[in-house]
Amino acid sequence: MADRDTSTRTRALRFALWSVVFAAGELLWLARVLSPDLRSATIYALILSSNLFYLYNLIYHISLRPRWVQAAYVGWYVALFALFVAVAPSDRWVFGGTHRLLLFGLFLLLTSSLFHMPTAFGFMVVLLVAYLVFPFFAEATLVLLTIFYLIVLAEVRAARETRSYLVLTCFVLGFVLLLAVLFPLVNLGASRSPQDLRTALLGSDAAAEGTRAAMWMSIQTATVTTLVVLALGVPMAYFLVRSDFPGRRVLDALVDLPIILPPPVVGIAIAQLVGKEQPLGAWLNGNFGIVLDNDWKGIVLAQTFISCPFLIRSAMAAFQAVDPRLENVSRTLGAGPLGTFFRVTLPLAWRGIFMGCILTWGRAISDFSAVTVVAQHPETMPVRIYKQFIEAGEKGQHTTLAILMILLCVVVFAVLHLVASRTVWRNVRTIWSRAGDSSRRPE
Amino acid sequence: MIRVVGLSKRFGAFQLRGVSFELAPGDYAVLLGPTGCGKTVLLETIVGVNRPDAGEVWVDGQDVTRWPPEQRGIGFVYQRSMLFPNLSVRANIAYGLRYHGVPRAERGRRVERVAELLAIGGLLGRDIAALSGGEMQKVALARALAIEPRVLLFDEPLAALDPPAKEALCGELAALHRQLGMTILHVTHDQDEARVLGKTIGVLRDGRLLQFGPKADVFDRPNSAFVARFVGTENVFAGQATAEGGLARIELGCGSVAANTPLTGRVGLCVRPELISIAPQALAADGTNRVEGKVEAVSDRGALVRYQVATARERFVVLQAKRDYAASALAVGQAVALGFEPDAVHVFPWEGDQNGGGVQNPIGPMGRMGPMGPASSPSARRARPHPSHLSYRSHMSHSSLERRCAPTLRARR
Repeated sequence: MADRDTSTRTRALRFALWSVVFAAGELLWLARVLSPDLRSATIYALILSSNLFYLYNLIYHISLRPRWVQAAYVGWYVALFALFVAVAPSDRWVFGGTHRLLLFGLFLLLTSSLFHMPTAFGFMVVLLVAYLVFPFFAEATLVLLTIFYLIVLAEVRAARETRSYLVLTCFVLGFVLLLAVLFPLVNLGASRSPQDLRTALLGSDAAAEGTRAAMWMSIQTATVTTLVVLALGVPMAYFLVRSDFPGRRVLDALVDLPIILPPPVVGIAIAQLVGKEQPLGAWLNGNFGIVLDNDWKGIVLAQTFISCPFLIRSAMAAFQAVDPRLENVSRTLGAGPLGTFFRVTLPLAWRGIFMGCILTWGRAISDFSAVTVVAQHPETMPVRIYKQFIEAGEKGQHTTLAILMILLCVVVFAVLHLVASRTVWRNVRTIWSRAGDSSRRPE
Repeated sequence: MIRVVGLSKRFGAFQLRGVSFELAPGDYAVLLGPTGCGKTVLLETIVGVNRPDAGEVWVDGQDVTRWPPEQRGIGFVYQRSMLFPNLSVRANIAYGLRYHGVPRAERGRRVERVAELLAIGGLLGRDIAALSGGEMQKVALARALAIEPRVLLFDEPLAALDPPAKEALCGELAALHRQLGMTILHVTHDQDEARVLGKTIGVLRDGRLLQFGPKADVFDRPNSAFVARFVGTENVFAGQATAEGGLARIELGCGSVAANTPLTGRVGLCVRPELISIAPQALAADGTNRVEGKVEAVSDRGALVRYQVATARERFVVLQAKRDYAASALAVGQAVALGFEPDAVHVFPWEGDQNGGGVQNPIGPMGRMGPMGPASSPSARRARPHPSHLSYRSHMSHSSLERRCAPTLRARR
């Protein structure tokens, strides 16, 4: 008991002493550095109180921890001080002009309360790094760093258990690649406000109307394309998987042809065939009134050509995973070939086929080159974006439209994936619980 | 009930060459054969998912060779149960009912009845993924039984199970057959399964049916060295037979033995290990035929003790009850005498050495070759790419299944 009394008294003394030092230092230093219009009692009180809170935390809590933790705590104070007070060249440089001294105080408070929670503290550091180190790409950096931090947190924990950092290293390397993909997109997404997007899509002017039409045209054609490919590609995939005729390998290779060919070539080939002046196009037009070039049907044709390998490949993989013996058993139980296909094969393969549909839809809606050769009008979104970029230049809406396009694709992509995946929710829970676990105080 | 005539089929590496046999109604036939002998192809051809290159399949007096599998009414159970993973246990069992004119209202009752028969009522609501291997096989069996097939085909239904599950299911199959009296064709590579379950036994090799007949015939009177070896008769030798009185005298490397056979000339002979008595050389072993040799190895097989005895040229395997072993206490290296009656010697025409399945090859000068003869001496084993038919016994305990299924066996008798 005596010991504890003594140490309590010692701490109180120490706290009092340092408080005086801080107060005096602040008065002297700030009075000299601060611009006259900021010298107010409120500012002084805020800074001083946050400093004292930091100090209190050090003396009463952090001092019970190992020495390196104490050193880190003090070091962090120095770093914050340097960032916000000593080094920062101007108020505008940090947080878009928000007062840096106030921020300094805020972060002192945050640090002293979050220091014993490594996970939360990490989020704070991510926030700081995003806004201080890359101020011009702050939003993009913040999003990506947060993702990075979450995964690294979970992986470090896993690596500690397996005693192998190979997976973690691979993730870090892979993330560099992912950055190349995500950084431009996130940065682009952050460059327009939601209001801009709203105006561009829902406004009442002619431009917004054109955008809505293009958007609708894109969704329609991509969906029709997906249905067409679904109806014809799935049988093709099943045939390629279950048959064994001599030319199968050649046919198998041909399926990939649309991926290898440059899309404009595809567009030219289609235009060459079904253009109004071409024999087939003229015949279709003359006898059936079917016009393919500069028509949604032509767009669907081009998109079908471009996107069919994705569905066929996915469906083939899915069918390959279905043991033919299951089909045999179904037959012995009395089901005919068609009944077997719909009751056994398809239910087991639908997930893979659905994934193929997602890819096909994505490829179809994103195609520009083949579509633009076949149909300049009606506009699909990629064509409209390109036209805006070329014709309107700086005043064009291409950036806004591009963001709309990203949003559309990402939302559809995500929703469809969720539909297809039973494990998504479990994984999300796992990541969060892992991150949560590591925030417990190490003993 | 089921008749197969001259069935031939080439299917990748597997081949059937003119397989013919006939099963009587209510028969339980087991086809034995090493891996790769065409067992699965045979079954798939009978069931109709393969079309034979030649030959006919008859079921219940109808030629079904050109029928699609869904019309043949043949139940089929694969080695790995092949349950439909997208359906529950109940839906799996009910799968075939709609195609067999069972009204919707009736289907549930039918499933319950089959499940009760196999004592899997508790599994009906479960997911396929939540079943053990034995349970899966039972569900697969129930699914096949639910459509009340005319014939049931089993493709190694016990091979993928662990020993206790195997034993249990083995007993249940026997009981089920007794209860329902179904015609069953079961293929396996395990002679112990055949011994416990089969009434009729066939032995397949390289797509040919070598022997097909009642169990006692095949097990006790194999018609070739391969069959003898495959059904577990380890003492298979070749010799020169001459008629002598009412018996035949066959010259072996280790002397001559008397046998009860009309055959003469070059013949093969086999003696089941359990029919040979063994005693120290000083004493007389029981039996008219006497062979002398030296104990090479003694191994404990549970109820039995297995001796390997090297004679002048051949190697004999002898199985002795453990109680007798305790009394005689023969050790490795001891000189012993083997005795057996002429009736214990089964003689069959010799067709030359058949790729390892033939004669128990003479022991070389060093006397150190394995039980498979020269092919399995260490250097030869390394040099040869492990013919599959050599592996079937090398790691298999002689009577493991027999022992495990002993209660069942007793019940059947």
